[in-house]
Amino acid sequence: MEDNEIISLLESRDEKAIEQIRIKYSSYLFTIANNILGDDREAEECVSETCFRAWSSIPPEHPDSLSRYLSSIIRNCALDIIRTRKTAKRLNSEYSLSIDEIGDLISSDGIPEDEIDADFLRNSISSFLRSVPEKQRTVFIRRYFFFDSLKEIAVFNGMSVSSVKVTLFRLRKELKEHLMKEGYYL
Amino acid sequence: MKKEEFFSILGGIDEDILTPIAENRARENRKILTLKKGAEMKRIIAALAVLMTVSAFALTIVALDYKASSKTDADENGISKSEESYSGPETVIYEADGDPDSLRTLYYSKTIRIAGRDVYGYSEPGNSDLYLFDKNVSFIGWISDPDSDPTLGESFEKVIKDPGSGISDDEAVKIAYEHAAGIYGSSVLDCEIVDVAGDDYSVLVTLAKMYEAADFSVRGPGCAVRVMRDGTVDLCTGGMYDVDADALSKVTLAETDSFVREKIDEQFGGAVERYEVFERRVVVNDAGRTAIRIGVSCFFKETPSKETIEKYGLGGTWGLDNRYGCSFEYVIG
Repeated sequence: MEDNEIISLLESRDEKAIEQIRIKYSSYLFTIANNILGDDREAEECVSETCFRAWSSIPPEHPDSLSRYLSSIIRNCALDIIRTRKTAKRLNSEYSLSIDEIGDLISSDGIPEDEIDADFLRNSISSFLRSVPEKQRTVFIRRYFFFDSLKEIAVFNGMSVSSVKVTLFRLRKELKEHLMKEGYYL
Repeated sequence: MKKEEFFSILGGIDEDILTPIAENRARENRKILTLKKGAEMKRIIAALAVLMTVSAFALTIVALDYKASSKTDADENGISKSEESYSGPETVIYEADGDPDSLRTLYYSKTIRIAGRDVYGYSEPGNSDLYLFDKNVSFIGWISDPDSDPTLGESFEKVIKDPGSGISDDEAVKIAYEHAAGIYGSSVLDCEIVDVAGDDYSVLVTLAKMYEAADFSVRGPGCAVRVMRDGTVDLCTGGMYDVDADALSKVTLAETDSFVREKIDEQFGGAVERYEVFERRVVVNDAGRTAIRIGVSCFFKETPSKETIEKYGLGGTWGLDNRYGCSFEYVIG
């Protein structure tokens, strides 16, 4: 079923929309959540929660891209779970690896969160990503938005894993320089 | 700032940046799917569905190739282009000369000769991935979006490289069997390689009992084992959870198959020429009952009416005409 048909079902409050979202997107959503959480059960819960949030938010929302919209929901859902975890247990997930990777981008003595204008920072990051070649942008987003593994990124982009690592390293370095030029010392 | 906060901010980047990548990624997830934590079984099943489709296509190409007699002329791009003498669907052989640009013209069902080796490329309309098969119609690998890959030549070389190093296929099966037996004991019935990537094997393990797992294989309950070429097991999925295990253990595949047949007859009468079960999952349905959700691809004799599609929530699968997906719930607990 096409995305616009699924959105129409949601807007007409037809529960078949949920089934269609599950048929079309459950694997996609599951992998995003599992990349972050490293836990099958919690990832499944996130998929269900995402369906519920989509049902609750459309309408009034009318996303241009359902895959993008759902991915944002499940990403937030999974990150919310991470925040509410009581213990600081070491996650066996791509998210935890990504946290380590961005250590060279963000330092502990950088600007405190409450002094950062999130909107400006977001715009600055968007502006940087627009300025890099499409393939590099894709590698960056797949790693730090979808938290895909380096191997997956390599396979889907026809690159070697080491090439992906190098690309990400350079992008982090360039992003840091870009943000510093704009006054952000993260 | 905290590193975690950076990821939160990244979640709000502009939609025009995120949308094409998200859509491409979602499409990939629905096509060839690699083994990874959690969703491996579902991915294998989806891959099997694609492989069956493209294998059939590739078989056709092989048949045509045997019939073809070729003459070779180099075109202006330095590509050797062979013209077949048979009349039938177009099959063109390209001899790559190492220039990535010379490969960009590869599209649907073409034969590609690289490094002296013939491989068959297949791509579905609307899908940017190119799937590669060898002469035995064994799946070699795939390249994502060859049109936009600046290192396309390297990608091809990498994908079709001789996978002979490391353990053999038989050894991979044996390792997977022993690994699964360590978890499921005598419940392990069969192991089969379903995918061979650059450095690993994906092995589908069929189990005797219906454990509550991430998914069930097309042949029944199962798990997936990824065996690396160095002989190590990277992961094994298909968990055993406590979801009405007693009820599950009493269900036979024959029961679910006959249930599916009845439902298809009831809903579509004789309109469905054949069907394939591609997924069995344990779910707790809206009524709180434990059920097996059975995903089915139905091959309709003719394109079903819009009313039928809407009434039964049919979803198109793999971009093929008259093939629609639907699911049924077999309540067990």
